[in-house]
Amino acid sequence: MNFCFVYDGSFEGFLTAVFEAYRLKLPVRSFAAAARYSPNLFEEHYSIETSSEAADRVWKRIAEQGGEFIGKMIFASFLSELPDVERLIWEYLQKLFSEDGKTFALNPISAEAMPLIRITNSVRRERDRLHGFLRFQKLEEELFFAGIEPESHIIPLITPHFVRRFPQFSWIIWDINRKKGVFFDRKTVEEITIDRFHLPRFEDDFCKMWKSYHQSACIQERKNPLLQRQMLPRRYWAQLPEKN
Amino acid sequence: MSITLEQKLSILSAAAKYDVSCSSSGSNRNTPEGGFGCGAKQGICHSFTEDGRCVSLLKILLSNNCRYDCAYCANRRSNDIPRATFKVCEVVDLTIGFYERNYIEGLFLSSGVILNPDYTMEALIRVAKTLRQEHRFGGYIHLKAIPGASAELVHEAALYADRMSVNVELPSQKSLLFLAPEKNYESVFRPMNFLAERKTEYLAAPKSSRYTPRFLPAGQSTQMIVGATPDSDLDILRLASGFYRKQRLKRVYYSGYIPINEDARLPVLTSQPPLLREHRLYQADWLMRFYGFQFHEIVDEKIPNLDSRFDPKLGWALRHPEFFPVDLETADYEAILRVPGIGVKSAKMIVQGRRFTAIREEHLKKLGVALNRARYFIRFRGSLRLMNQRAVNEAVWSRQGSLFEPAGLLT
Ligand code: SF4
Repeated sequence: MNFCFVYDGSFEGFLTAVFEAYRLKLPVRSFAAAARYSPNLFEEHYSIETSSEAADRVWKRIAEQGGEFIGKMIFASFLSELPDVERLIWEYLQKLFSEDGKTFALNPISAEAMPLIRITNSVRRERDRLHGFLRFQKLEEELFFAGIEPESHIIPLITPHFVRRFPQFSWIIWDINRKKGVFFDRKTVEEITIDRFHLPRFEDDFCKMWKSYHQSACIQERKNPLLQRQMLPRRYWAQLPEKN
Repeated sequence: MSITLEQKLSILSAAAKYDVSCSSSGSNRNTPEGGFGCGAKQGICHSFTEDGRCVSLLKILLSNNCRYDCAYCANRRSNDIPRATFKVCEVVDLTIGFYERNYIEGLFLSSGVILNPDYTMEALIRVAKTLRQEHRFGGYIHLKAIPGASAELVHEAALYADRMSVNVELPSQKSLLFLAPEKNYESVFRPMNFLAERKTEYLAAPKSSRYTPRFLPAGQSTQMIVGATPDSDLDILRLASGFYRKQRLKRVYYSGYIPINEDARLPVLTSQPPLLREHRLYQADWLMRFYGFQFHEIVDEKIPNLDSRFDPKLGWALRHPEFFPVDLETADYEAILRVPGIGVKSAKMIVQGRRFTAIREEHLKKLGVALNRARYFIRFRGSLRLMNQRAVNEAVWSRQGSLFEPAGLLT
């Protein structure tokens, strides 16, 4: 019998599942976040209760064997939320936790590392893009709001940048499709989840001027809409005032 | 009749757009205490215009009311166009309003020569100083050093700016004098050298606190117009290479000439901007900055212009069959980097990974190596030894497609 470990969707939950897989010595074939899991006949599922203690131990072990760099890679690829990513990470971790795991961690072209590096790179590309493509609206004096629709669960990766950059007012970054967000109140960041969120959208003078600036900065003789779409993929347009 | 802020913005941004630099990289300025905004070392693109260019900075002129008459410029004195000049506070407000909404990384402020170079430089400084001191703004500021401005003012500007640039405009002194009679190479090189020397001094001095940024942290850049004058790619790349080595410039930009003015000294208005040539120059520039190429390896007196048919890296490889095949098991990093189809990232991974695993074709594919091009130039375990002159010639001339890079890519 194959086992699928069902966890709560959080990174902690996933690390707990890894911990349990080791503890129970079960032939784990897959992992699934509860929200995305649909039972199937050929595997038995096993629900994991998240434990920060267990997660912590796995996290420390990753750091011991692979260092900070590998930890970041695993976290970033986890955030991709790709259907199969837990299995890829699981396969990587089994090697990393093995006897010569420390040597294994140094090899970027092992069969286990290459897919994770690729996923990590694409998650980081989206992070870098959103550092730029995210747009704040000024809701009121010193309160700003940004709605985003990223492919990966990017909020944990972009939040530090905005905390560093805009410490002087409060803001909300809201992942529209995941219905998750963060609220920064000039001191701390808090996670928020609200099921029905009224999305504000309005244009102030700066927004209007930005749109006309964007128009006039284009050199007509060099028009190249294909290149524009390559650099600024369509899926981000809905949240960009200059594209609406 | 008074003109609205929005109208000014549209005039003065349209007037600035031909300056191609929009980079916001190179500065890691910290958020000032009690203020907002910071640098991002890699630079951040906030949007892309329909021409596919990145929008990173609010790029405007303070004024397009220019006293000079450079032939290639839309703002030259002799053109009959709408003129406008921003007030200092207007630029400051726009910058902050855009920055807070995360539209931009900061400001790129240039200007036509208003009364004289010093007057203009002072006005630019006032904007930067207000942003930094009154608003405690830590975002990116790129200021143009106005040719002919005094050393003291150029120095003061550099205290507030992350990057400064003096545009050399044309690839030779002769061309510059011909097209921009009020300018000369002296007025370009003086501020450039001055800033380069000051920067060296500051770098040697101890850093005082986390809130004092290094002098001109993102260094200098310049731009030259390509295709308005008969200068060759060799002239251009030789000059650029000197800028990188001697003035330690961070970037040289090449701007394919877009005919805007009717002028006997210039290509006719109907001529197409030389976009392919510009693209090849950027590829060559890339080779000098990241791939360890010298300019004379790319172009020389015998072949002074880049080949439009293929990228300069492939061009070099085809002229140097004796260098290949490069053995991926043993060759050093620099040699692997010279293989067409292999980029910086994959070269690094190959060097790191081969200590653990024998390199095979499947690795190369997954590492993003363009095998259809690279295969003629490499050897690895299990590779067919395809590299012989005939195979290459065949690939180049008959099955061109496979050796040619997709537009805009250089590896
Ligand atoms: S100095 Fe020359 S290039 Fe600069 S704005 Fe005036 S006319 Fe144009």
